[in-house]
Amino acid sequence: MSLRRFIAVRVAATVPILFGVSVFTFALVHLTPGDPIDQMVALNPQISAAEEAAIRARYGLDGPVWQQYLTWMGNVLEGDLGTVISVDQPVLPYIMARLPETVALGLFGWAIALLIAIPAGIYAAVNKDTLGDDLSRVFALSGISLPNFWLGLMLILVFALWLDLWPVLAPDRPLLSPAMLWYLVLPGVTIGTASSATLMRVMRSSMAEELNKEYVTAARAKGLPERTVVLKHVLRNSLISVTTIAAFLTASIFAGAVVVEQVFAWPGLGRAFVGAIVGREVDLIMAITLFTGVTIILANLLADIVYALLDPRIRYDT
Amino acid sequence: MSRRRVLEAAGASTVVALAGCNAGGDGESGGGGSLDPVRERAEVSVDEIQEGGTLRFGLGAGIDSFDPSYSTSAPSGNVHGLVYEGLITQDAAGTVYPWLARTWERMDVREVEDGAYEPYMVPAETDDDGNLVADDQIIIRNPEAGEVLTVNEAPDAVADGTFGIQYRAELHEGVTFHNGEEMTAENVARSYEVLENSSISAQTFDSFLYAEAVDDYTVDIYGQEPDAEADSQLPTTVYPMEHIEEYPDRGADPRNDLTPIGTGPFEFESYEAEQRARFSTFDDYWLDDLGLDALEWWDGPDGFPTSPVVDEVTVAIVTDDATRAAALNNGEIDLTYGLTSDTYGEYRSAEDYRLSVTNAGAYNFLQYPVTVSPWDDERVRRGVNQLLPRAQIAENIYNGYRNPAYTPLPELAADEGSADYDALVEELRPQTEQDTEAATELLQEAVDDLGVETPIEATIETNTSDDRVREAELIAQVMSNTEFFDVSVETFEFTTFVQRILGPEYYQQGNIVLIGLSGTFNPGSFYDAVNSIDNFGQCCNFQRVDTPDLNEIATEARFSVDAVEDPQFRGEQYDRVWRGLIEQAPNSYTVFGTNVSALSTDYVGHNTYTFSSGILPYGLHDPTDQQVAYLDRET
Repeated sequence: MSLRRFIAVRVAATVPILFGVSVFTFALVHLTPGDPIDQMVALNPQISAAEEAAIRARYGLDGPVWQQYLTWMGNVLEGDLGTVISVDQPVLPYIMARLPETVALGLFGWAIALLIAIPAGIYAAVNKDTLGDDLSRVFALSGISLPNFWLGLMLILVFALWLDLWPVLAPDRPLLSPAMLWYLVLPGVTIGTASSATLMRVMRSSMAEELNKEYVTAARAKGLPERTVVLKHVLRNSLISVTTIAAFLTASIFAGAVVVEQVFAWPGLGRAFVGAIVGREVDLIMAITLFTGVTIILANLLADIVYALLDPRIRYDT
Repeated sequence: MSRRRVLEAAGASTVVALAGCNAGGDGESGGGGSLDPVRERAEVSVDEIQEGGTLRFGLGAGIDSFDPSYSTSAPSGNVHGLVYEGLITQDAAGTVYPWLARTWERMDVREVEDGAYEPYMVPAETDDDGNLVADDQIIIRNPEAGEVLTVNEAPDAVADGTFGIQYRAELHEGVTFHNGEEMTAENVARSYEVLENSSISAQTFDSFLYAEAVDDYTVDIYGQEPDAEADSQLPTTVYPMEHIEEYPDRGADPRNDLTPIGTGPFEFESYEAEQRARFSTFDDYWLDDLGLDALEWWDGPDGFPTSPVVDEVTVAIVTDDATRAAALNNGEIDLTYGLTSDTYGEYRSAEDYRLSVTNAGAYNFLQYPVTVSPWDDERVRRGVNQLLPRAQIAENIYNGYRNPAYTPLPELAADEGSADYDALVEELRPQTEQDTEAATELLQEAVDDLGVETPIEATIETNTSDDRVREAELIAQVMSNTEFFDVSVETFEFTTFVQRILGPEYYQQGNIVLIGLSGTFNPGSFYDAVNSIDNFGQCCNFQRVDTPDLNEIATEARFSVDAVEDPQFRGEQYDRVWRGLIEQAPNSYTVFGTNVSALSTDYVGHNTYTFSSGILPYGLHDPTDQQVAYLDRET
């Protein structure tokens, strides 16, 4: 099948997936007790039961769940993602205001993950079963094991408070500025560490496997320098499996953003998502979930395309 | 005795003094002689004050609205207080002072007979839940007749003399809004329109009836009933016409591309979503132009600033407590509040930081399942009340940042809420201080009479806040240490908990609720929310508490001509309420809260306001308490 058709089929396949995700998330949110109006009236003696009912009706929270879902879905199809009740703001601009922050953090986290994972993975594979390989394993295990929030707080403690090299809060500068780039290092490292650990182990095993293949032996026999063998021939083939994993890690980058944004007071979608869950902001939860779902699906689609480009033997197949 | 917050003698820039006794305002505008709730008030010398700089304030939650008509949340209140002002202001002890109003006087108070407003009412539709609804703001509902009084009919009622109380404000002339518009009586009268049908409209329209401009600088404001709290409850935020006439229902908010415009000392500059908001000094601030002598009650020193002395304020939104503390430690913010109580110890002993503590209106309370045996017997509840280790809770769990609640009324509202607060405490404390022997006697008598098997199994339910869970566990342990109880603790995430306890059947489940609430300067706020049957199913009567005799007294203590005209009568009525509450014990008040600011010593003279919504604006500048703070650093 052609690349174009492959993409069309995959995009079409996302519709039922997103529908399923929306039903599941909507149900999950409504299975959790409480809604934003409960919070509003919780500690406010002056809001009477009648006023509570009126506010609930105004935001369409007074009907049965299935009816609320259908209303929500109908609105989404018309381009209306609903309202963030606690601030009485439409969801779409609310999300769009935070999206660049999360994208920047995510990309930075990604970059750090790749910068750490690829060289370290290559080094560990080339120096298999040496002290360096063992150290890389320890790093990987630590990276996967350390909770994001703890690592973030430790980085703040050491690099911001003790060494005074970084600010704790984001500087009062545009997102695309040197000061902000410098600031992004700590949250980027926090968010990228777990991903880099996973990527590094995949890179190492993939590379080690490739290094044992006959074409590598043949290349060496031809007298090609080891550097050329590793970086030109082996690396490309090793990256195929890394690419696949990297797409999956998009999800973990977002999951990391949820915690990291909270710790670093970073005003992105992750922090908004935490607030939405605490406040039972169903429209916002749904919107961020769907947005994340679409992002992960697209990342996987992109991975498949890159996968095929890296390995011409692979055919587009659903 | 006049207040001398600002030491005229040159000397140390900050002097810490124990809170003492202060006199109040002008006598016309509220009580006097209140105890200063600020625990150790920092005082500054006028000569030492440095002007300029940017104060960086760390806020622990987002700003849900920049418009005070759309939010009463404490975090947002800190921002509102920079930009907006009202006719009156209240010092840290709750005394009312005219502010945008040059004078603020009660003109008339009269009884309102039952049904007095019925001739003016109009038919209303009913929604699916049987609630009366109307397009216009409803002021009074008559469900039996299916009629309502809306803002449209209120002027007719007032014209016929049907109202409970009338206040008159004579405004300062020459007050301008940030957009250059001059404030007149029309602004005041029409500012109530902004509140109509907003999510917090109930808080105004449960007492407000009508406002009208008498002339350019005089406005009359009417309340529905004779109301002893009217002087603080009737005034609202004053808006410019641009806001009143052009801003849509979502209020002034940069997220709607609408600039908040007030008369306050700071102008809104910018807002980055969930990150920071910036404010800068308003050059044409009215008090700078008129001078402090325009305030008839002012008796402070010459040279006291007429407005905040910092040039700019940056509000950084940092929701994570640990990160906010780190930002303070790193010198990235100067001031914050709402950190966990175990953090305070570090600041208390640190050289470069200071804690500012003020006794506040928050309180924790246990609410018993008063309709379920054996909790329907007041002796059981009173017995538990005497088991509670209030002092231990305040000291050990809250590290001294709470006060034991030996009466249902904190010192904060003592002036209005008691005829003699010291005598009241002396009288009630023996019934609320931990006394296991007295409690055992009461409980033994109750279980013998009721024939109840002991130990009585019970569950204390609370929300997952570390301190509160520890409080619940301590209470459970103390109760279980007796032969009468076997108590467990169950915790819930806050919203889950709230929905659970607001459920219509919850009161039948037999669980004890432990939760916190904040009262106000109004003594009734410490009674109504948790005891009045009117609040059953909403905040905060979860257990169908019904104390009709006390309701009647509490109503009389606020909504009566006698209460308005005779503070002594009012105090006596409330004393009866507090005695009745200890006697019937539907709730046990455990501790009263404090507000604690943590700040850098670069920010000199800061004191914490009684309510966290006012921490930032009050600390910067508040002539009522001769409060001013400045930055002592190169900026």
